[in-house]
Amino acid sequence: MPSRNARGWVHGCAIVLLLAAIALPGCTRGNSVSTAENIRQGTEGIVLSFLSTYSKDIIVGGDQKEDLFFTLKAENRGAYPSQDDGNAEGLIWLSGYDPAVITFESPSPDASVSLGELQLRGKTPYSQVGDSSIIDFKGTINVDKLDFPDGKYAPTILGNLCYRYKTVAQPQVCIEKDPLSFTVKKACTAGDVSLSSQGAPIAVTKVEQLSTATKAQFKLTFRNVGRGIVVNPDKSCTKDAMASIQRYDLDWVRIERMSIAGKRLACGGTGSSNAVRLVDGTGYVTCSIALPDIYQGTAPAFATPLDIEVSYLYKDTIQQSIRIAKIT
Amino acid sequence: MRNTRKDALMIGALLLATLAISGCGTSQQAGGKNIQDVQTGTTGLEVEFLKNAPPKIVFEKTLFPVMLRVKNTGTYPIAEKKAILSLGVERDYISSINVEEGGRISRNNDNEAMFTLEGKTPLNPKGDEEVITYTVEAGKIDPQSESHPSTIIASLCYPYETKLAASVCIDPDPNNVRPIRKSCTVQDLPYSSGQGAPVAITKVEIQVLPTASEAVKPQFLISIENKGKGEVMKFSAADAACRRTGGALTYREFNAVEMHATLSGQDLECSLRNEAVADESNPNPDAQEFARLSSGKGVVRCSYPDDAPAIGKAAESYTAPFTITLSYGYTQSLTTDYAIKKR
Repeated sequence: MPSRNARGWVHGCAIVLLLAAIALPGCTRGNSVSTAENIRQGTEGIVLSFLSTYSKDIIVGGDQKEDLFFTLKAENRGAYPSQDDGNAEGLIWLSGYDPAVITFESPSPDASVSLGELQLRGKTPYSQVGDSSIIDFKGTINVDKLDFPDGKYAPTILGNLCYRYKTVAQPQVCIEKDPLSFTVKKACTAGDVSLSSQGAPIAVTKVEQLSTATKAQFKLTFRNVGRGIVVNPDKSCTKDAMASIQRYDLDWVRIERMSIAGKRLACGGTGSSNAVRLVDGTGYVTCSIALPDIYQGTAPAFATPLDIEVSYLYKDTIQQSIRIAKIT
Repeated sequence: MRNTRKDALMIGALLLATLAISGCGTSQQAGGKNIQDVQTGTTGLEVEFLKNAPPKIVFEKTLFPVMLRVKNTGTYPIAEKKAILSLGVERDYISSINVEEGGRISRNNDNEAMFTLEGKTPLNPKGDEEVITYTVEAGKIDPQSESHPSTIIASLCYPYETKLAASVCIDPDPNNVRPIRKSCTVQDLPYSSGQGAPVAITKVEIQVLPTASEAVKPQFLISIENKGKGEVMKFSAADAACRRTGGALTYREFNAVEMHATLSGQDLECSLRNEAVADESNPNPDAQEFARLSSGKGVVRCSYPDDAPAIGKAAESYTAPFTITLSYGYTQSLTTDYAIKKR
């Protein structure tokens, strides 16, 4: 029979262990195990974040140049590019600083780095997370440009990211030989398909089937589900191109592939050359194919994946405010 | 005994949980105290008579002290070019005045003290102060009078500078034609609390003007105002109002401020008035440019020079350091009454 003191110890230890068990697992970042099926989930593509934080004034003195560091982390949280697609294409660069006051030495004097150098492949069935990379921007504060003591220079540094990305979706659709026939038992019935995300900042959110007796027709809804802006994929991810984009260059995605069983559908969106315009972040396109092109056999209906692939440029920006105080 | 142990266990458990939970957050640098911003206020030097110095009543042919406390509650240090404190008395009723020298105080005339005085700094946010002592001898008053009321005027003259260091937004696309996210947007900068000097910059209006070339030209409209209790004068004439100048001080010396502004360390071109006078001995005098105050206020336009490194129309917006320095002299007076009585 344990004594009352010993029972007290046991109770106390139990409470300690219980609390630790509750508290400590909360410290880790949850990463669910991935399967081949769920890599095309999520609303993010490549994500940028500042790692180093200047939580208080950066104090400089005299007229000596001072070092300044920014560390950014780029993570590909989406599902593109795969091994077969090659490296991600795009650019990361800093802006918002006065080039007379802050100059950069690395990774380049214009404070930019190509995504091609970083090897940021997306998630794969064998890797639950995409690639990530740390980029160090080493700069110099030209203290002599901060004219006098107690001068405070407080820029907001923007971390800009522009990248070319693709959204791939394969929703199951039902092809009916005679959509108006109700007398024959069918393996499936054509209807709307709702989707959430495909591991990319542009998502196919809905496929509406508008079939007739002669052709299979689909109305697709695309939505910008990320935090950034969508840029016409005909543009390129360079600083100059991004600085000169106009409103008309925004909110375009290009349909790269829309096919059923390898047969290409004809699409007519709000734009031309397979381009779809997003309005308030949402765009629609209607694609169709003649039933004889995809219908072989006698079954009254069959289910098949609709292969969708859209490409676009995506631009996202993060910011960090710093304050440089000069004292004597 | 048992309760004590249980309590200790409970405290231990809570402590552990607190430590564990607090460890979950991203570590942040301990927020140190920022540099105290001393560049506020609309005063420079402030002066006051010390209590009972001078006494309310003094007697004929006796020595009495006149003591003034001078504080530099602004940010400009009075150093190379010294401040002057002079005492004005009724000469017919005062036999002598002697300023006590020592430390930072030196004597220029019997009634003129010259001194240096540090301003506010982050390490001394109140500014420096000094007590200046005069020993004054009362003279004889009129034979028929029992008492003679009189006044002492203390005049303080000093050079001063107003400095403003700000971060301004240079946006070559001020009309937001380009739909990209910007690091900053151009906006006017109002300053209501001064810069630690009697002449304050009250507003900076920023415009980014297009040019015929592929560049933009930032322009600044700078409003300045005398917020102190005294008069503004030219920096070069800072001591003149407190000295026996023999009438050399004219109205032209007043309400004139020297100005210098920079953007990204580049001198700006400011619309100042060149008041250099050419004569036979000096047909090409150096420019003497001033911003003029009218009713204590003035507006100066400063522009980015054409020959400076161009700011391209296609450039992204950025934050640039902008500085303004105003240099001027300042004079203010203070009076106190006393009476000389017969012994």
